[in-house]
Amino acid sequence: MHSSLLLIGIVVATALFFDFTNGFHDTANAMATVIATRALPPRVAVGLASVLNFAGAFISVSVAATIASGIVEQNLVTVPIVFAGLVGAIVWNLVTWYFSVPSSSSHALIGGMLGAMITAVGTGAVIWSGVFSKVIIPALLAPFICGGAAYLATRLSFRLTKSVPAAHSGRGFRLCQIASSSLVALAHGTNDAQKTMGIVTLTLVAGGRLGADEPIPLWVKFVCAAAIAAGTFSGGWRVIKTLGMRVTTVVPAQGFSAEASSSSTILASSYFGFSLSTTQVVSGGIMGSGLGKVGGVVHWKVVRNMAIAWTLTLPAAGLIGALAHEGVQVFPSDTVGVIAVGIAGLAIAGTLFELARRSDHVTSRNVLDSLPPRPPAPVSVGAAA
Amino acid sequence: MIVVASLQEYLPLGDLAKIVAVCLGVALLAPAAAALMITGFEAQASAQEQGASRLGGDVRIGLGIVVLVVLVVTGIYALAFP
Repeated sequence: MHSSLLLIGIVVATALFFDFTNGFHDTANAMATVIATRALPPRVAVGLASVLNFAGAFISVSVAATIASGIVEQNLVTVPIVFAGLVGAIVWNLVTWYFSVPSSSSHALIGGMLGAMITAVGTGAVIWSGVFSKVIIPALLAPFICGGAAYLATRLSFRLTKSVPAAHSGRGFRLCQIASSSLVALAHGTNDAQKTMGIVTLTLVAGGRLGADEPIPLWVKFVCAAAIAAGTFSGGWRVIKTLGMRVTTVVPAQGFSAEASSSSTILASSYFGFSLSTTQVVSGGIMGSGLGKVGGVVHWKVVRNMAIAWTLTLPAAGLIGALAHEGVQVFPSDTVGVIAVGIAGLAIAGTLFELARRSDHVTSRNVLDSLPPRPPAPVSVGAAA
Repeated sequence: MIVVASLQEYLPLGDLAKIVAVCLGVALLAPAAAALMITGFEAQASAQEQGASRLGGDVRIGLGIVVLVVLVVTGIYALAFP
């Protein structure tokens, strides 16, 4: 069945807006510790992450078509279902961003799709074993695997450099941190931009504008890469503050250990075909690095809030997705319904942005305000002598 | 055993073991490489101060950089060819 070009255009634009929110929500994954340890100035860090997200989107498209496959019956997916799923994901992403909680954009997208699918077709359209194997079990395991690796790496980092003055080792670890964080940013671009590419392609196929076996058009790759890069560059400073400064106090050795462990967990899992939430992996890594430092403190109240958000992501995004789908169905045509629900979604997004601006407005200029000033640059041994 | 058998239904435990092994390997290699670099710079500075050979420091820095570059390249390879 061919859907109207207007309908498809609106859904593609919604997918790109989701991609944008994915970018700014997840900037923290790669750059929170880099910013917290002052390895790079905040604006430079998100600029680097943005470029790497853009480049990462072109590295591979192997998982682009798998975002919904194995989780829902893809032949039953329609354009309004995709739209409603995206609305669920966007609204949940913005709600968690407003509350400064790092949560998984991928799980929000899957939750939104599940909710819309169940409302439209019924629970029979959901492949529950896929939900367990692709979403729930990896979500339970990933933070612990990465956290354990980060704990070990942090212990080792401190032990191996204990003879070096902290200021000197900090300078070295900051350099290494830039490399490990860049790898996380690249992996994020590859994994997450592909998810939107998959959604846009699914929309074009469901709308009868692209053959099911045709490759992803170049313009789809480009606009998805650009949207996630733009989102990343806008910087989700609220989430950066939580992940970089509120979970634990991160010093360069911890930042490097957390990001090295995160990149290895994400890349090894991708290689073996598991799509993990970058947010949950990095959060686990930061917690592990907090525990790995002797005398390090993890703020469990913040972790508890994150765990609550992670638990709520699938059902909450699903509920919003279901409501959005029901909203579309109220109207006589899909196009009118999508426009109406889209306007309502934009109103919610605008309200959340305005509320965030009025309360605890975090920007690149004040994101580091809660940290003590950086100690003076170390004097080299030779110069001191 | 029942839990493991149930888990195996949804997640191949062999692959999980490989992922854990990679993560633990990186958790050992990456800090070791970074520490080699950092202590190498210290050794260089110290050698310069004492007028001794900087070779020990140079070797440590070189080795640390090589290990880190190999890790990064392996990561990009895993990303590009899953």
